[in-house]
This record gives sequence, C-alpha cells and structure tokens, in this order.
Amino acid sequence: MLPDAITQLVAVFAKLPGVGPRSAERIALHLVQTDVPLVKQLADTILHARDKIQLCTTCGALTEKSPCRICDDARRDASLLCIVERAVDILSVEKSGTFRGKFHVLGGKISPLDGVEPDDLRIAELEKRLAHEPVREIVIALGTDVEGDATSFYLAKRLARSGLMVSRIAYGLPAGSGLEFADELTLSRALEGRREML
Amino acid sequence: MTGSATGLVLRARPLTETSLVLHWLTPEFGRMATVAKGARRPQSPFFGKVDLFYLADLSFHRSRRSDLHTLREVGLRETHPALRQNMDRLRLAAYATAFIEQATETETPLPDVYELLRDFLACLCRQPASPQLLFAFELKLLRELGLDPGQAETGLAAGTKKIAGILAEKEWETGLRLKLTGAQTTELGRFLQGFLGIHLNRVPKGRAAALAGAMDADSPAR
Ligand SMILES: [Zn+2]
Repeated sequence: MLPDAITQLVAVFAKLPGVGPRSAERIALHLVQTDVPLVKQLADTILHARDKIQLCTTCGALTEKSPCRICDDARRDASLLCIVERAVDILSVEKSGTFRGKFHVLGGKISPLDGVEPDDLRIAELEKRLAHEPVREIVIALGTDVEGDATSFYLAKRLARSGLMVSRIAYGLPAGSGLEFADELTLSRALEGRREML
Repeated sequence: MTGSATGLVLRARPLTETSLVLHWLTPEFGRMATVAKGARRPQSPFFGKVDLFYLADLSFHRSRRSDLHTLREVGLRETHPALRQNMDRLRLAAYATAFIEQATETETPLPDVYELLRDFLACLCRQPASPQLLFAFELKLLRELGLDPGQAETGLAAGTKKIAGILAEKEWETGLRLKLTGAQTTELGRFLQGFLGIHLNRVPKGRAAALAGAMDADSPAR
C-alpha cells in the first residue's frame, strides 16, 4: 500500500491531460524521492506560470501581458484576422508559419446540445474589433466537426458586411477533427487554400 | 459479448485526448453509450466517421460492468450535411435529442422513437427549419409516448386543432405542406409548451431557441 500522501499526489497527476494512472504513479514516486530544492523549484515554476499567464483582452490568446505580442506586433497584417476556437489553436496556426495576420479566440463553438449559445462566445468582442480595426478579411479556422461547421456558417452570416471578405481555411483537415491533431503541413496548406464563404 | 445495430449519434464528447464517448439511438438497444477508442486520432478507423447525427451501422463489445460499451466498427450511412450549414436546423435536431433524452430510458428498445428521429432528420435536411416541423416532431413523439394531446381537452381553436391532428398522424410531408398563420403558430406553440411542461414535468431544453430559429428561418423576410 502506498502512503496517503503519495496516493493523493497520484490522484492529482492522473487528472492531467495525457497522464494515465500508471504514469501518474511513476511521476509521484519520482517526485517524493527527488531532492527537496528541485521539487520546490518545480512547484514554484508551476505557480509562477499560472500567476503570470492571462488572456489577452483583445484577441483572447494566452499571454503574460495584455495586449499580447501578436496584437502588439506592427509587422503583422492587421487587415487579416484569423478566428480560432481556443487559445491553444493559435499555437497550432503559428507553428504552420504561413499566417501573418492577427487572431481572435472565440472561446468555444456554438453547441445547442450543450447549451453553448453565441452570447457565451467572444463574438461581440469580435464585432467591436471589426468596428475599430482595419480588418478586410476574416479567416475562419474552427474545427470541422458538425458544431464547428455550423458555427463557421453562423459567423460568416453574422459578420457579413461591406468591405469585409469572410473566408474559411480549406478542408485540408479530415472532417470531424480539431486543430490540435493536424500536422504543420496540412495546416499551412489549409490556410493557403482558404476560400470565401458568402 | 458483441452486439450490432444501426444507430444515430445523439452526442459525441471527448473522453480522453484521443477517445470519444458516443451516445447512440438504436432501434433494438434504445439509447446506449459507446467509447470510440482513438477516434480523435487522424489514423483511427473511426476518424471522420463519427459525429453528431451521423447514421451508421455499428458493432460493439458489451461491457458487463457498466453502460459504456466499446465500439468496434462503424459503417457510415448518412451524415446529414445540411445540419452543418445551418444553425436553425442544428438547433431543431438538438432539441429533438433533448426531448428524447428526457422522455426515454437508456438501454431500452426504442424502435419507433428511432424511426421518428431518423425520419425527422431526413426531413430536416430536405427543407428549411420551420415551426411545423418542430410541432410535427413533438406531436408524433408525444403519441409514441402515449401522451396524445388530441385526446385531451385542448382548448385550441378548431382550425389549429385540425392542424395538430394532421401533424401528429399524417406523413411528414403532408403536415409540412400545411400553411399556418402567425396566430396559429403562436397558439399551437404555446399549447404544446404547456402540455410538455405538465406531462414531462419540464419543457425539454432548447425548445425556445429552436422554435425562435425555426420561425425566423420560415419568415417571408428571408
Ligand atoms: Zn492578443
């Protein structure tokens, strides 16, 4: 039997994404046998990161200061705005190295089944940006599952206005996937092949 | 032990980073849940084959310990693509699901409810969302549940009552050809809301949004 303190630690790690019960136990057993200063450093680093990271008030990205580096970057194309579902999707698009515009994180997708309505997402914030920023094209880069698709069509309709092109990344990704599993090549092709929706 | 069925996906939720939990509506097993291991990986044989309101042939390993069975194979039959392109349609489909989930037990055969939802989704893909379609689904499902409002003292105007009868009993297409006036739509909508509230204890989730979207989609301005 494991001592209670270790069991508790295992339970905490097992809640982390991608960590199964066996890995959780291995990490816990490793940590309780590690030098105290190293463990303290790990704990402090986690706390520090959690403390420092916030959401950019403009685009919704994970950042240490708001506005974030991308929003603040004058070399990026302010006329091009890429809409993603979650903050981590920005990282996926950035890794593709293809996109030189700015971002907007929706914070989810519309899901009538789960009670997620347009008002629960950062759509009003997006409309505010369209009124104040020189955006000429919106690139919708949501997942291609049923709700992601329906949300994309909803946005295209709602955001339609003169002088604004609404496009969507091409189906380089198989239907039914989220952005996090796409490889970099697929994503950069998908971005290059984006098409106007309405 | 293995089982096989034809089913509609009512819900698809991530379980882990790679797997999905799928809720199905099948004729012989009713509402049941399976885990689709690896379904979120692009290399998975399930990838792109399981999503909301897909109609598919499935085979699964029955779990003896829980209600979560293991999906083995999926043969896709119909994806209902029109639901992807229109939020009003998706809202109707979601409401129909919420209604079925509220009014039925899991792991109980539901052949007639399955057929009803299958035909409803097919209809929903052929034509725009409309209040008639929502009412027809409600009335047909209520009949299936043994709660036929036609038997009750409805207090509906004669014309509206006749429409309700046709929507409940006739083929989908026959009911959908009916033209309802604004007043009839409001009357029948309110009546059914009250009826559902009384007989199901509460109105299933998403009804107001689904009806508002359907009325909007159906209005001559569009
Ligand atoms: Zn930002």
